[in-house]
Amino acid sequence: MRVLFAVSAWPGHYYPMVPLGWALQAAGHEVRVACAPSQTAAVTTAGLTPVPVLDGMDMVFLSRLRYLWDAQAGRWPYPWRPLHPLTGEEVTDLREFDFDRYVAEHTGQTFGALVRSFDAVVRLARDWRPDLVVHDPLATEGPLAAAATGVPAALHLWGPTGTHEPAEHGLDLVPEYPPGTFARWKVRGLDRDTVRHVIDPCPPELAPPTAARRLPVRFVPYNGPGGAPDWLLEPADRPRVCVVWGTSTTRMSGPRSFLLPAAVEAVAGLDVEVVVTATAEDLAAAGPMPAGVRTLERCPLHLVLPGSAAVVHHGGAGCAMTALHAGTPQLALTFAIEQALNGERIAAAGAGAHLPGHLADVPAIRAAVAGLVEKPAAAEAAERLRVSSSARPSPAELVDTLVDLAAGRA
Amino acid sequence: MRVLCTVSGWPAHWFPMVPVGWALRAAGHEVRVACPPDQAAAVAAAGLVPVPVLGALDMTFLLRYANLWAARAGTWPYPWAPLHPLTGEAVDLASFDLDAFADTAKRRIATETEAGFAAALGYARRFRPDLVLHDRLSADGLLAARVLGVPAVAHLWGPVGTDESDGELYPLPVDHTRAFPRHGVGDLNADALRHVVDPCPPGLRPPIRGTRLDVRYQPYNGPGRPAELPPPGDRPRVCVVWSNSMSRMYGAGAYLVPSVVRALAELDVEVVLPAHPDDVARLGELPERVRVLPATPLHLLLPGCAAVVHHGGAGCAMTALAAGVPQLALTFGAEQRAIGRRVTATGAGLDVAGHLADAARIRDAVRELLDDPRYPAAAAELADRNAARPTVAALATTLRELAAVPVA
Repeated sequence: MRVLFAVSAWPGHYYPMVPLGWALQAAGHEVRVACAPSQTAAVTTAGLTPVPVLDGMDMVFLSRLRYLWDAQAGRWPYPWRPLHPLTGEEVTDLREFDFDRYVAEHTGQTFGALVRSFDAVVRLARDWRPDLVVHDPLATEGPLAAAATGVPAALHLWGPTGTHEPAEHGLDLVPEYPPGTFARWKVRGLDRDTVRHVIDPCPPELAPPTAARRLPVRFVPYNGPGGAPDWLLEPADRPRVCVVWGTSTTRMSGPRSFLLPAAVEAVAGLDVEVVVTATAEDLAAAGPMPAGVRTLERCPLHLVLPGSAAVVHHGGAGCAMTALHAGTPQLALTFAIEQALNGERIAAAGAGAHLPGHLADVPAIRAAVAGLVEKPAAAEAAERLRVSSSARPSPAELVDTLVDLAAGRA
Repeated sequence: MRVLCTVSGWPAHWFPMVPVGWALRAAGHEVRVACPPDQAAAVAAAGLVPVPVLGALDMTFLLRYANLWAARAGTWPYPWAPLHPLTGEAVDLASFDLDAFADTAKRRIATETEAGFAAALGYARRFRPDLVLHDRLSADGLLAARVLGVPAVAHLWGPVGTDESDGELYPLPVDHTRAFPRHGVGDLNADALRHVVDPCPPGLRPPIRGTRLDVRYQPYNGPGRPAELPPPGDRPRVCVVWSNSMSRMYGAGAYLVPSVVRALAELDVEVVLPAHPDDVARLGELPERVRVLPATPLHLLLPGCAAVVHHGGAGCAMTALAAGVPQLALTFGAEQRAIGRRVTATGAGLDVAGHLADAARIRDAVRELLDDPRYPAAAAELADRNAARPTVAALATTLRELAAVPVA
């Protein structure tokens, strides 16, 4: 069969779908990935075939908008203000950015881009005639293409947050559009309630909330291209703790969110071996490392974690899921609602700890990591979650389910 | 389970293993690809994890070196001189001291081979694979598997086997340094390759020893995206694809695209030519019906084509076969010649020795492929046979079962 993936303009949003793409191709199916031009290289390098026709929204801008929106709505626990969505500077006043005015001034431009993107994906689907569409939560092009061509769609979650989060979190993963948005393609409203199938890579202990039918899959990590030095295969003399930092946390949440130096300092003060992996930019910004700390530039996390006693990260879904897959206890230091929810849910399952960013100073981080490394409870819970994750159907096994779904048998 | 792949220094040798790597990952297994350093970027760009520790044995060097020996033996068939293995300049055999060069070359080959064996073994001891998968010319993985006592599986890249009678096909690496017996794991010969993955459908199956593991050929032709190409019009569409390594190995006379374009200009066909901009520049002005495309993975280009002309490389031949497109191979080198002849024997294509392929012969051969319905029928038959074979996903399951059986 032919399967169209539709993805939003952020590798972390669709990297969890990559192994499913491999599985489909290995089973003899054809896969094309509708994406924004900015994602062409990342999709290609993952071994999939991009069709770069979407007009992707800038995710850094969207995230800043979301954080400011949350702050205006009173859902901002941090003792500093979020960034101005356009300038990236911390706002001096929450009302400094006027949403209504921005919408009034930019609706034409924003909607123009959206309509181009929607037109392009519908054209692609009509030409290529997929039997099934798989999409990430933000890629509305996916359900639109499916509805316009009358084929089923499945939404692929990227981590522990679901399509139907309780209202108090204010976290709607699935975008809402005004009524009539899709009339141009003779498609009725698309929102979280029209999502019928959700591919869920989380262990059942996390169960991201959804009202759709859940298709369980085992999370298989793909963290981007590259290898790892082979000393990682050597057993460490002391417990190894990995510190990994989000590739764009500073751009989205501002310089105050740059906790990499604090995390390294905190962990280096324990009797552990420290391995840091981050972008070259962040490593440079972090300055000289304490003696004995080893750094890796953008090393795929799944190659670093096996054998590690704990990992500290920024709460991103990719880090959280990769740590769950490796059975590594994790500490999330978070700066936004989605990351905080990831951290909370894993902590509630016992497999880690969570510190909201503003409470994460060196002593707090050190105490939290010490708790994960020294007490067996976290390691035991992480191992339990690893086992329950690995009992889920592999992406290879999900293929048969998707074939049935495409054939109308499921 | 953990699977260690080892690959030799040419993407075409291991591209067919890429979908197997995906299948194993998608089934939840760990996969690492030990490779020569110059292959690391291509391995990473295929979505797999490179371990760039193997010997830096450059295939261009090896083939040019072999060509010099062929020239001395009188079996170099081309009316121009072979190339110097290092400089790529034409070699005047009358004045070139091949024996002196061979001393250095052999030492170099032995050093790199030994380094590769040691690195593969060292890495395997730490990674502790349950199974090793290696291409036909990467003995590194075979040695590591034997020493560790885990199953080794060879993966063919096309219709050349491990048990060929024609020595010019180099079916196996030669264990010049006697590394296999030194490690106490017997000799490196066709019998040592006990399991061989064969992506060739019946009609094309090459000679091997040991157990044949059948798999559907699943094209992976490197990273890329579909070309922007309108659906074929009234004229048959002919795809022309050529490997630049032909000129690097066999000399400038092995770049046949200009002749092919001239030949096709005389037929009522539409031509699609994926090519690097540098190559396009040296083609000069092209006929109107030739559409030059950026380099595009061949499997994304062939649907809708009535024929394809290529240099006889396994990747082209197998991709055309999987797409059910009749093919013309214009060949240089023993392996390409064998592939061309074997495809011709199935009825799904034709082959012409490259140095004899002038525009008239190319034109007549393409016309025959287009006019005689037996060619598309045979090509479709081969494609059907290929599609009926076990998928790469099924092969991954077979490999899992194989890894569960203790090695005798």
